[in-house]
Amino acid sequence: MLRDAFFKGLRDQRRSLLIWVVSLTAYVLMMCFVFPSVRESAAGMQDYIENMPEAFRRAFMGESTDFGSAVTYLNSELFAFMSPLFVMIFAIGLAAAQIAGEEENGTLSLLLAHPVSRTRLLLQKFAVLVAGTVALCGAHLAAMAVGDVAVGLDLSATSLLGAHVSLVLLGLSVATVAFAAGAATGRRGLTIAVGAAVGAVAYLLHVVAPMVESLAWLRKLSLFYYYGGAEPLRLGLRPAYAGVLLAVIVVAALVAWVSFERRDVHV
Amino acid sequence: MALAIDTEHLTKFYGESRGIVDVDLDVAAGDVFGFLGPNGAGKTTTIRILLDLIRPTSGAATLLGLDARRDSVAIRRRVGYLPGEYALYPKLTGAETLRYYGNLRGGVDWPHVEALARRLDFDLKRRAGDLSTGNKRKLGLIQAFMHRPELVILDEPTSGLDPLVQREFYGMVDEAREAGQTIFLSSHVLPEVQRVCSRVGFVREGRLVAVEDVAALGTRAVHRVEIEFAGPAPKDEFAALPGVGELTASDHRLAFTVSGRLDAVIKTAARHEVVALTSHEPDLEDLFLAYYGERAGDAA
Repeated sequence: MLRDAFFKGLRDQRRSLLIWVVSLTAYVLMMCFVFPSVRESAAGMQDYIENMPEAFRRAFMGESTDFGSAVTYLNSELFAFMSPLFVMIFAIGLAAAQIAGEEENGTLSLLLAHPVSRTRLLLQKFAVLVAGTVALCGAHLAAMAVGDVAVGLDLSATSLLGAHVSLVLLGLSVATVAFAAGAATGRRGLTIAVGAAVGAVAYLLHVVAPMVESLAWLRKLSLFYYYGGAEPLRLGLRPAYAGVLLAVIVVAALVAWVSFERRDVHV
Repeated sequence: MALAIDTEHLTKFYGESRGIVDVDLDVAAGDVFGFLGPNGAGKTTTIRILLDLIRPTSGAATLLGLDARRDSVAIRRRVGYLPGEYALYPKLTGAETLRYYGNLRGGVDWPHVEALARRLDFDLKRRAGDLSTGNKRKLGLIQAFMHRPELVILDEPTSGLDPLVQREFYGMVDEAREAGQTIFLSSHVLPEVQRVCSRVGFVREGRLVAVEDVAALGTRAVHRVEIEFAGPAPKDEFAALPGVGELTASDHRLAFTVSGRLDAVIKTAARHEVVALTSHEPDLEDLFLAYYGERAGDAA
């Protein structure tokens, strides 16, 4: 596991990743297993749901108002907020531990005294970020698949997979912007702050913009819009939308590369 | 003779503040070169440019015939480096740390690593997070030497080492020289440079103010000498000696500086009954003031 900076990076994250996987899996399973009892009382909740201000309802449930449907329920309970939150916090933390983390810890100078180009190091560090995020979302997917079978949620494999690809792309787009801030400055605190700000702004735009008619177009500036808003599980993977998230990732990674390549490394 | 390090007009500013200015440095292959100067003079800045960790504002550097910027990876394959300040991965043991660094070099001769560890009396099984400053430095030294680099660049290598380990380190430098490796080490301690180096460059306020052969330094060095006599101090005898200056005398005591060899002073003193004799190594500032007073004054 000490073969290069990528494997070393995974090794460094093994404990953290384990904790995140266990807690997220537990949370997802719990939400799946609670569903049958929610479905029984869904009829009673229908009035309440339909009386919610529409903008709120759309922010948390999307188009559907049928809480008795597994897809609506899981979108609302997991994909609309909690799962992206989990994934983004994890991925931003992981991004901060890469270039900026090594630099603030004081290990980067010695690492770069070895015959590893900055480009290669950056690629390997970015690969750690991607692998970690995919692993966590993979655990999320596995937990839902188990829940699906155990509780009989009757989810379509395509939309399940599509929603998780969207989740990976959302987490990575936020975290790669943070990663770029870290690569450009070498500052861990700034990396986390940038990630948190991008995630928070994206979420707020997604919730608030549709409430004001004249500002509705603003929602298209939110990463959440391209993720599938409150209903990735219903929408599945939409290539054009996923492409926007992918483009954000690619551009942020390029910024990370160019700025890290050019700048001085701090002692 | 081929140059291991060759810099031309190397200049680095950090925004407005001065790093180094116009450093022209030639280090011949096989030399042990001491880079001597007070803290903040620009030694670390120069070294970090050589390793391509920071980029010069202007000027260029060539190491082992390769461009410090463009061929940085190829250079680092052939260079060993010990930073002045660095951290280790606290959870890795010494052995794991060195395996990792070795892997980044495409593998390393492990028995050689173990031999270096034995030599520096370093326990490879302990976690880096539990190491003292001196032991961290030992791990850094092993890392810098373990792949038998052609050029070893060491930034203040002996700070934090106890005297016994320091001596072992000097031995390693001597052997490296015999094996034809080039050593470039920075220091702010003159005796250390005199002990291991063949040439020395003086840095002051970001400028390389002089480069000397260490052998020549020995005869030119300034000593501050105090002699206490049993009888009256023979002031005039000493004042007449070549190289003696700043002479002050009291009843039984003489204090003066000597530039160059102490031979005449000792032989003159031997004609009298001497109670005590002390001789101080010149400190860096004395040396500058004595020999580079004008030029150092310009730089300041």
